Amino acid sequence: MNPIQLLALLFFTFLGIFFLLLFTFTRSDEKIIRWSPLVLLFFIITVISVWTQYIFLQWLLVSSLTFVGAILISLSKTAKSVQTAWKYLFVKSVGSSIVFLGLICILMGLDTGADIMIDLRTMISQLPPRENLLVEHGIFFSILGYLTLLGIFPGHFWVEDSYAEGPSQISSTLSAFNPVVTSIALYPFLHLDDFYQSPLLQMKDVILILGTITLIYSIWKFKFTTDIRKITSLIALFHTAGIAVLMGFLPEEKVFYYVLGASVSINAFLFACMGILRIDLGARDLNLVDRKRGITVITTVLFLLALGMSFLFPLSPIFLSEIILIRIGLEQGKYWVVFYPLLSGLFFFLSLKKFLPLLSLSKRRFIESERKVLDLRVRLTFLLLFISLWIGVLGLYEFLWGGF
Amino acid sequence: MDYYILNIFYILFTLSSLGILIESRIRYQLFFLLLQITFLFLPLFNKYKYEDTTFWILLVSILTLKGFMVVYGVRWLHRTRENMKYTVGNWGHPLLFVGLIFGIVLFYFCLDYLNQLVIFYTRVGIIYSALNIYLGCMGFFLRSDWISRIPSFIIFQNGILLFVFELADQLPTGLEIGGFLDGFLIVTTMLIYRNKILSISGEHK
Repeated sequence: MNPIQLLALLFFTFLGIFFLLLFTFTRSDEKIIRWSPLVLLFFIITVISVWTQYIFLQWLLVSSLTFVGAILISLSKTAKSVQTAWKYLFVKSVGSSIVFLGLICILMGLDTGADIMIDLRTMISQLPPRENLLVEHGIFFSILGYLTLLGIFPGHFWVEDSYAEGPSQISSTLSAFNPVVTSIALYPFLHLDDFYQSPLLQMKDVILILGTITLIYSIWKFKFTTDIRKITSLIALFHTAGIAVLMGFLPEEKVFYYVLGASVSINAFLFACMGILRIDLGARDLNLVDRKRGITVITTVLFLLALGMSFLFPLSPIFLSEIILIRIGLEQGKYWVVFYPLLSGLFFFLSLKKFLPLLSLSKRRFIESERKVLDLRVRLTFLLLFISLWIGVLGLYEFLWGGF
Repeated sequence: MDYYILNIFYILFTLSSLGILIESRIRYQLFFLLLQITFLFLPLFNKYKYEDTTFWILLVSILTLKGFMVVYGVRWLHRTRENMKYTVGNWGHPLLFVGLIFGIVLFYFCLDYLNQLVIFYTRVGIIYSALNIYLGCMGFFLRSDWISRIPSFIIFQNGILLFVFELADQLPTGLEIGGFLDGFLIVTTMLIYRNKILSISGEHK
């Protein structure tokens, strides 16, 4: 996948989410049409950020996404969502500051006077001879800051609440677009680190370790969670950590963009299904489900399919991403890479254990008061499912014909 | 400007950060914040020329985003909050003391490296900006409530801005905007809380 294909995928996914937001917003009494320009702005910033090559501009756009995202989370208008929005804003602002500090150090260490519109290639050509502490620290700070913005350990604790407390459409937007924008901004720094070969610390190894810790954390936290929203957030966190782990292997650009595309389509689909399940169940906690209320077949099937697509369903782009990860790891002689799909399998079976009891609930049609909203939600979710499957099939075709 | 005078101002700048960390009453925290923001004008006047547009942009940004928005915003948020947890410490002064000891040890080991930087770039402000960034980080651990961490973030950002001002002639113009993240943070926080207040009072309906 190339940047243009990724942008096309972002566009179609955004369309699905945007329609869900405009026509099926039920989280609060907020007039969502008033806030829709802000969601549009979020998407436009995402597109520019994916398109641009300038490192400083990317930082500026990622930081501005933080401010827009925080306001969007608070649209739930509950006390918890406001606190969460603030936490999201604060932690990500600290992350942005750390990246900025890193950028200053790198720009200060360049041989010639740097221009503010500088891309990776120009930066590498202006790098001083080896053993420059300023540049090394700059790369370290930048990557550390971006990892906080991505939601990787130790800056992971904003992810769970932020995705769980916002409206499901907003969580869908954030979980789909935020990892893409941040990863694309982080990617040049990993190449810079690889080019510079710092004797102090190899940041790709650091990312691998921190990504693995985040993967394990999300599984561990999942085991004790019964809140549907939090469970979905933890799956999104697992996907983000997966992207970080892949970046630790320094993949080719087309593989990197494909995995980002996989994350976009699956996270959008997953959160859309979660929204339907939560309304249809009438509860957000699995322990508080009213068994007499029942559930519709379509909701159960969609959510179980979303779970499968998130981990091990053969046509899922995530499943293909795992196969690609194994191949890259084996090519680099890192045989322990099979550990990651095992983690994915473990997460999948744990989630089945939590959600399979839904099948035993009595079956019914949508409740009359919710029918209009849920019908529309299901239709739009099918669009997101189609996009996910399309990405999966295309990837599989490319993989089988040696494209990756 | 005379090296010694500059040094004294930088020491006062750092001491005001310490004041914000130690002080738990909002009124005095705001006083120290204003004092620190006032000290930011010194490197600005020292490093930039009046003829440059950048100088005026930065002057207006410090006055509005830091001088007005930050101080007004912190005060507004303090009043808006239903509970008054604002100044309650997380670990209180024992952690501050531990942090002080840790900081002294850290700076003792980093002194050679920092000295190399300062000699190489002949900038004494770098040490003070590093100290401020460290004190800002300390504040993140000291306070229990998310809102009460704002002054610490402002210290952190002021340290970064001082760093940028010190290296003004080596860094590209326009990069200074990164030092004003705290201003944007305050404005967004006010928007978030405003939204909640309006919803409670029913103005959105």
